[in-house]
Amino acid sequence: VSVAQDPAELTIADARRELLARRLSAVELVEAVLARAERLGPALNAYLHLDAEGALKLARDADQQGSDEWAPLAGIPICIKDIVDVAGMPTTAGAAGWKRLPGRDAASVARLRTAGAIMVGKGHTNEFAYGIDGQNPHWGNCSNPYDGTRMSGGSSSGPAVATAAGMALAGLGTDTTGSIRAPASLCGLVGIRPTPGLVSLEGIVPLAWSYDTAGPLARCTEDAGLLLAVLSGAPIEGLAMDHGAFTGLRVGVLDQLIDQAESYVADGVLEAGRHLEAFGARLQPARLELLEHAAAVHHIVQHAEAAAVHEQWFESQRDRYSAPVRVRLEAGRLLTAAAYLKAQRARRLLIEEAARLLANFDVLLAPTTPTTAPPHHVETVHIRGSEHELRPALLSCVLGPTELACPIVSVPVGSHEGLPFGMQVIGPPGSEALLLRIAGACEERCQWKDRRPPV
Amino acid sequence: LSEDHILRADQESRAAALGPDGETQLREAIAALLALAESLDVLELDGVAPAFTPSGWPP
Repeated sequence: VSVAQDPAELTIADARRELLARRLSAVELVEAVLARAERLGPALNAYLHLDAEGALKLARDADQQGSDEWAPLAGIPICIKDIVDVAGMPTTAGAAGWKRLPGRDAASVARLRTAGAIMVGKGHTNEFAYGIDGQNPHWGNCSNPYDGTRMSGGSSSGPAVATAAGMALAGLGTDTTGSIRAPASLCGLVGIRPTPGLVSLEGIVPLAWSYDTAGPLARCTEDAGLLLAVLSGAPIEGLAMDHGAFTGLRVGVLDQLIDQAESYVADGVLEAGRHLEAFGARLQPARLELLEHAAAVHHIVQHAEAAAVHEQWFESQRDRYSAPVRVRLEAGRLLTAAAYLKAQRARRLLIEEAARLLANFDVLLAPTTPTTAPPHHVETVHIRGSEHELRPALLSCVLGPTELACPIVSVPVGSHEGLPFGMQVIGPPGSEALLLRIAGACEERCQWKDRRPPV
Repeated sequence: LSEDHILRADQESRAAALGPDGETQLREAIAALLALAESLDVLELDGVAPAFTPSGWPP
């Protein structure tokens, strides 16, 4: 499907150009995404709450402003994950028995609003963001726009699907253990897990404080960079592509994670690496010896912290959780402080090893998901001929890098049987601009940013 | 610690309508977490502070 016959398919950068030139109005743009949301809503289930009237009002206000007053995201419709507060819209967290009606925006949403963005609605999420597949027994499953019989990935499922399918031009998600990166990979988007602390988490329902981050889902690296600059309140400098800048760039390939992925994903990541080599980067294998302990650290810390987050309402709500989430929270409540602290001490060793590795490499590459989107309702997936449980498999490539407290960009690098998959570009804290430049080079090769799902 | 010991320490939680299947799942989840915690015993943690303490990400 080619781009730009329909305003809903524009990138933010292109939409802004059209808006500023007055060839497109904000009302036309919002009407276009609302029409998509109405048409695709039942099939894809991207929105848990849609505020069409509010979005159109904001669009009319934007159209009345002079072009010289336009803020960076003026008139741009955005989908907000439903664990993030938007004033006047319910926050359900995808839960059955929990809800709040915030009177003010989360800090990240306030930044988007100040930049002129139009919050169209609240996007689908796994229950309390505690999942990686975009499935939700209370609100229905979110479906992949490239094949509605398949998973979207989660837990930022709604923002990802809305962005990919033209029901918004971008999304705001959260990433605790891959919840931006996994749906970005499975839906053919760019997703950023920023340096922890770069984007405020105020007004967002926590999952696990040690890992929670908020960041953008977008159709291209340019849009993702613009959104991150707005969300962080700081310019992300040097995003313009300069291929010469890759001369001598030290790129490490995390073979341990390459080995976790289907061969077509591994080939896609390695081809992207070779593309960077063609621009002067030096590609070498990289290894994190402690990566084998990442899952132990992560599950202990996340179970314990999630149980603590839910403590205040768990007793009154426990029967309303789905069984898998409830069991995780019950188990987390019973973990000892000693086990939690052992995991946190082990995590420090992982972070220190990453720092040593990133003294020798500028960035690391790894697959984002080991496969393309699995079909709905499967409990296992096949990877390199072996059967694996779905949840550990979808987490297998994103969990380890999460432990390193580094920023990570997921960018589409290929497709298999019409379904996209992504690659993680991992760098030291504060390296988002470099990661986006590298991701941008890979995006140019893959050309996925010009594709849209056949919806 | 075993999962039995931990479960006894929180009878109220165990009894709260998980049902037989739920209790089995909870036992398995606790056993898995205990095994994960034990797997970290091979690491040399003497003198290592938790990751959330102030020194933060090494420069």
